[in-house]
Amino acid sequence: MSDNSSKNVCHESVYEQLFRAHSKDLHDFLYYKYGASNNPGDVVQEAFIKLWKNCAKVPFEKARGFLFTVANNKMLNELSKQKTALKFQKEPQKISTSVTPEFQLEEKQFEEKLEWALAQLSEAQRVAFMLNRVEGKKHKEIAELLDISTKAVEKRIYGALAKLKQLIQEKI
Amino acid sequence: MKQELLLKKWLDGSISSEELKQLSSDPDFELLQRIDQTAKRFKAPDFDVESALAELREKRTVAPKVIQMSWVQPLLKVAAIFVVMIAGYFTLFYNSTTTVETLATEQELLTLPDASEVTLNSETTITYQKKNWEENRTLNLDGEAFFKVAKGATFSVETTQGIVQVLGTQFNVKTREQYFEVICYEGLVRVTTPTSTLELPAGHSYRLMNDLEGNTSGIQAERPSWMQDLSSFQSVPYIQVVQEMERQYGLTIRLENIDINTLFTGSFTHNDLDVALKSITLPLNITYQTIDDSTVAFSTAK
Repeated sequence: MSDNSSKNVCHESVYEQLFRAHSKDLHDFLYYKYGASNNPGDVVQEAFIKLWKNCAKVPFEKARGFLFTVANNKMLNELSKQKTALKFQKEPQKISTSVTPEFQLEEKQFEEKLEWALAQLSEAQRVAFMLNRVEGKKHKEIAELLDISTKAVEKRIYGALAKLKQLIQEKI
Repeated sequence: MKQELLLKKWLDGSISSEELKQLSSDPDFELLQRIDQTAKRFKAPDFDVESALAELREKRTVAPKVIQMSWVQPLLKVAAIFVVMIAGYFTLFYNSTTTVETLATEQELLTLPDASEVTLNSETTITYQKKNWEENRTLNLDGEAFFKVAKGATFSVETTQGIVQVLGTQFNVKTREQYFEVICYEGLVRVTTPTSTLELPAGHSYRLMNDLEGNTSGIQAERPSWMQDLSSFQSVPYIQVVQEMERQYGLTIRLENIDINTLFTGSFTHNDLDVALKSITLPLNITYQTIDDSTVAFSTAK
């Protein structure tokens, strides 16, 4: 890691290396935190453009933090604190011909309940939970990404699961 | 709390098969598994790093241009607003020529910006600059008007036949074809014509008719008679009387076998056409005949 200190973000290759390393994480982070309706892809682009403009001022090892902070602020500005309904894109389901229409309906209802419950989670809980359960990231990776301890990540994920369970049971 | 530990291990992926068996005995575990499985359907859409990077490269190359436009455009907007405002200022205020015109049979009282009053007789036009009126009290007159001038800078009435200048007074200016008459009712008026300059005190009049000048004095009236609906004439060619009648009543008068240069002294009212016609025809032994609503024929009795 010591050679990182000599890396200049203004160099095209270094800049693109940063993009390859962090753009997906940044995108997923924004997506799970704020939902699909606020164009996380665009915000990622804007954050990187801002990094390029400020490349001389941002040291390589601070670039990730810079990107996450800029993107998060950008999102907050666009949301301007209004509570937007979270919308997630659903993966197309493989419909097995063997399942009964009743089961399909029940499955769809459960999906809707879960979407609602996910929107009720705190942003911190949701991001940690989704990055772990859906993106398959390890606790340590998430801890680095969010700049928190692994213990805190564990707590958030478990808290999210418990809350989801509680919400869904209440709904049933 | 053992349950929580096991669940954390399950979430962590570090759970042993034995521990998992233990966890499965919990009736809630099925729901948790289902939540876990269903949540995967809410996966973020695939983020294609390479195509996003290509997009970013493109944006970065056009970025400087965008930045430039972002201040040039508002600047242009601001400049455009200024252009419109300046143009508006010049058309509305700078060259503010005001024109007031009366038609036949009309009279109009007009108050100028300095509270001077102008009463326009029929078929009269005046133009003046509203801007800087207090400093430059000059107006153009074509026709006949009575002026009651407020005290202040020199007040000038420019006509094609002469200029009348005053300081603060009441006077009447009449300018018709080959006829220019100024009557001063109060104060002092200076009249400048191509041939002479003279000062007219109250009660005096000046007349330029067919290039002949004339003065009278001893006028007692406070206002011209036309302001009391009466047109008065003092040794005026008959044609002037006829034209004034046309203006006051909106008539066309046909003249047959009449000497239009006969001098006429007298007056006619503006309120009664029959009486008016009689007052200007009988003294000269002229007969008149009404042809229609707006035409009258005058002829000399043979």
